[in-house]
Amino acid sequence: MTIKVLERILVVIPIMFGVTICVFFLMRLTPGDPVDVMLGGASYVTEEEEQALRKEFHLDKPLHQQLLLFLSGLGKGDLGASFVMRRPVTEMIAERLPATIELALGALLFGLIVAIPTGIICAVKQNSIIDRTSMAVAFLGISMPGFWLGLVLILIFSVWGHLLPVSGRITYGLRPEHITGLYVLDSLLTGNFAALVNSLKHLILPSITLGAILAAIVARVLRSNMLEVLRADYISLARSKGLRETAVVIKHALRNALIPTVTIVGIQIGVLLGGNMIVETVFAWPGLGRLVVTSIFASDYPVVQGTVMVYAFTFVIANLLVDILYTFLNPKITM
Amino acid sequence: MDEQVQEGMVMNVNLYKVKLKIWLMNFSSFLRDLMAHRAAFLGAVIVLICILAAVLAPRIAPHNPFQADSLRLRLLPPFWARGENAFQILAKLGKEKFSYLLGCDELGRDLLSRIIYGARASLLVGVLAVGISTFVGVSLGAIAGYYRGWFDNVFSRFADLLLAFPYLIFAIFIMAVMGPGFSNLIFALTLKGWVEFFRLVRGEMLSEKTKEYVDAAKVTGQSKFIIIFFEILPNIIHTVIVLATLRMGYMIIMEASLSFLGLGIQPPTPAWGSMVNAGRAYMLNAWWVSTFPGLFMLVLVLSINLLGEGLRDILDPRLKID
Amino acid sequence: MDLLRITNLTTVFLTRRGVVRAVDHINLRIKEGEVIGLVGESGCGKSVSMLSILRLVPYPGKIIDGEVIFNGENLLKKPLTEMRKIRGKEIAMIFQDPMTTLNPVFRVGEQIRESLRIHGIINGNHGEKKRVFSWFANKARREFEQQRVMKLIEEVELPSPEERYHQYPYELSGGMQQRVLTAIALSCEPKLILADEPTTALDVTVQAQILELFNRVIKKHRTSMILVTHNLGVAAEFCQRIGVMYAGRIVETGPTNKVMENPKHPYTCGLLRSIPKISKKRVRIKPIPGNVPDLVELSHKCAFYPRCEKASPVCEEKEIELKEVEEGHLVHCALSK
Repeated sequence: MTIKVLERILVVIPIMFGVTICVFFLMRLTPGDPVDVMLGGASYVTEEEEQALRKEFHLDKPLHQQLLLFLSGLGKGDLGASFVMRRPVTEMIAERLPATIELALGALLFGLIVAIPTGIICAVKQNSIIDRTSMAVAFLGISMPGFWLGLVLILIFSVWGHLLPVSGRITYGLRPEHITGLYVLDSLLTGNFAALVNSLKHLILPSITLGAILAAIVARVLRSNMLEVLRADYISLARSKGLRETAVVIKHALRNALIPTVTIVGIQIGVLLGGNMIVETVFAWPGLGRLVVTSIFASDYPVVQGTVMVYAFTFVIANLLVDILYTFLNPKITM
Repeated sequence: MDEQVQEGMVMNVNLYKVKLKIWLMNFSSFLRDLMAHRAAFLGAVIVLICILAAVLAPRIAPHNPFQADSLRLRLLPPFWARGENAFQILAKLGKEKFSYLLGCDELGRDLLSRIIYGARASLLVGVLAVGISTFVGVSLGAIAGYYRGWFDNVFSRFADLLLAFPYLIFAIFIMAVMGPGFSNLIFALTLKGWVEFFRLVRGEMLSEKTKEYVDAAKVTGQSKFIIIFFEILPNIIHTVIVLATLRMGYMIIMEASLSFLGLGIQPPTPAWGSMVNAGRAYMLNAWWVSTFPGLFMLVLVLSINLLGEGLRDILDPRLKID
Repeated sequence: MDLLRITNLTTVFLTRRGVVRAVDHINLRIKEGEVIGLVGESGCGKSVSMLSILRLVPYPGKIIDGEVIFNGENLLKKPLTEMRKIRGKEIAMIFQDPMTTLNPVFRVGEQIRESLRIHGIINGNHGEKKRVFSWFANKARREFEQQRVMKLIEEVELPSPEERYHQYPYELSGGMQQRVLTAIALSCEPKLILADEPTTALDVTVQAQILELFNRVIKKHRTSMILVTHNLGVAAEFCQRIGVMYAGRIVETGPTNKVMENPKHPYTCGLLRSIPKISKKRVRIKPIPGNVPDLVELSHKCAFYPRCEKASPVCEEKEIELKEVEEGHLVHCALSK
């Protein structure tokens, strides 16, 4: 069993390496001179200062040396420095990471809590009103652009309904003590009720927007897998043992139906990561996604490079975890 | 000797004529199935309407999508939400009460016309991105699946590498590197898009390759190229068609997302994504600027997905990917 | 005293094409310790009859008529909560294809143990399920269950029981899997076992072993069994009485030897004639002409009429009654005396 896990981890390493090289070289393909971008066309900079800038960012060295420097820096956890802010990229990412994690967790929670019961109920009560309505809604969900959904939700709940805040993570001044960086968790841990309510209110709409497409896809996939599983013979056997129907569905059917569903969830994490940027832009959520977008417009290449790499790595690791989870769920793979 | 070769060639041609006839018969029964499937039919009809609208845009758009009248027509509400003030303005301009049906955007341009023109961008991107991805992915996948060897290894590894990036992140990254614009957008979408088709066709090719009709074709001395593309591929193509249709909606949403972020099609060219983005600032008092483009996009993608699912039900019920 | 008496059981499937009469007014009786066989072609309603006894008929099926009297009570009228107490405990079922009948994600031992848990078999008494929350009591119960399962595994003659307990179904061969299913059926010591084609999916040599296992187990526990099969040979060897089913109806029942040597219904005769026999003379096999009828909307007349070689106008006219031709030997044919 551990051998299989190790094998999977080994496969991942060349991919991560490939990703790094890929991102590095693609970044270098950008037209224009980074130094000019950094200076923004200021004319008062002297020749020496420009050279000093070049040296600082290693832009005077040949490409392969730059690559080696980058890789060695990577080993130490250094992703370079931002052109615009002159701060280490890692620092900037670390600042914004909790926000993105909170959003991702919120979306995942919402998505799974909605999708799993829906998938089960729709399969058990096939072709009922609940089934047809839910599947119609799910179909709508996969056809909807995420940013539009976010805007419509804001329109309905914030602008017209005045129920929820329009954007941001928390009202200024209500920030709870920093323990994990996740406001909801921190306010729970410190017993700060006002902060808890406030941060939750800010978290709801973005989580729903990001989690909606996840929910739609997982609900459909789970339903179809459950339908297949419920036709199997071992379900009849479970019933003939005298097992209650709920137990038959949850203990016997769900366990089997979850296996192919988990693979799909793994793929959808990519959609979650991508949609993350859109949702953060719509809701002005101060996370990694917004950092990527603003850096692109500011031509802050090290930051773009760093964040893209972080996203890619997260995706790869997430898929690895899903694969490992799959090995645990499906006994046939352990062989 | 010569005669025999000629005879062989004539036989081959006749063979393919027969095959074409059979294919046409299959196609007409397929069309009949399509019309019977309510959801797919509805989807197909709406898609056709959108295509027509996009093609005939210059003729059916009530106003010029680029003509701005920022002073007077700025943020004109849609026709059911207009007050007396708005009617007066329109009267002064010599326009009817119900012109500019869906209102105007922040620069006084007619929203409906811009939406109709925006369909062009979306459909063009969708068709091109999916089309090129399909072409590239299918060709590479077919060759890789049939020959295996180093070709397969190289491209499969390449595909795995590309799969490590989430789609939007990759597209954004490419757009950041290359700059915004239509052709760059297509390039960015296609660069990752071909992977799915590659894997699908490669997988199918691996299993089809072992079937008997392939051996039969080899025995009659067919060139490998013809075998791959004219014998095996027609049997695989239905799964490709289903995948392509289902992916088209996704590509359109990708394009809109990129335009929304400002990285795709740039204003003033009407594109639904950038229109929604532009309207964001005015959501408090002019909700229609952002809402309607998105609504139309929803309808288009919904119809494409309906069509795609219908195709899947008809052509290949066992292909259940989402 | 009959253990189980089925009268006029009718199960139909409501499909878009029409009403399919899968089981049509069948009558069956079985005593304690008796083994009866239900024989017939595929699709004649044998499996559905078994499922009907336990009320496990899948949608769109419905039991619309008849009585199933088990231990004096009509199972068809019982509330589902009570029915669940009977399933697995008083009446157990063994299904056809063991590979698909065992849940692939649970270990074998766990699946056998599940039956014990459902029916609350603790400390050897078949008591009601008690909610025992203390960890020690739970531990004791777990150990007891494990022991019990081990004993069952040994009883069904699976080699190396300790290993088997922790294995998954795919790690076992077909014969071994079927033994596991038998263990599951026996776990709560039922009075009746319904075996639905238990040997059909197995190799011939394994078939014989499984049947022998059934024999031993039944004799030991004094369990009754209804063995459903399309293999006449198996039925002949194993069962004391036989029922022949055709198109959802039982056309002939009686003691095995009498039915085999002296078949009265034309269908039974046809069946026996169509078995290839190993003998010195080369004899042509005579199959029954025609096909099994579409089960949608059959009437009360004889279902075999279109294919019967002895068909006469009498068969078409009246409702056909069950006639006793010898002691215990009943035939559903208009032409028998």
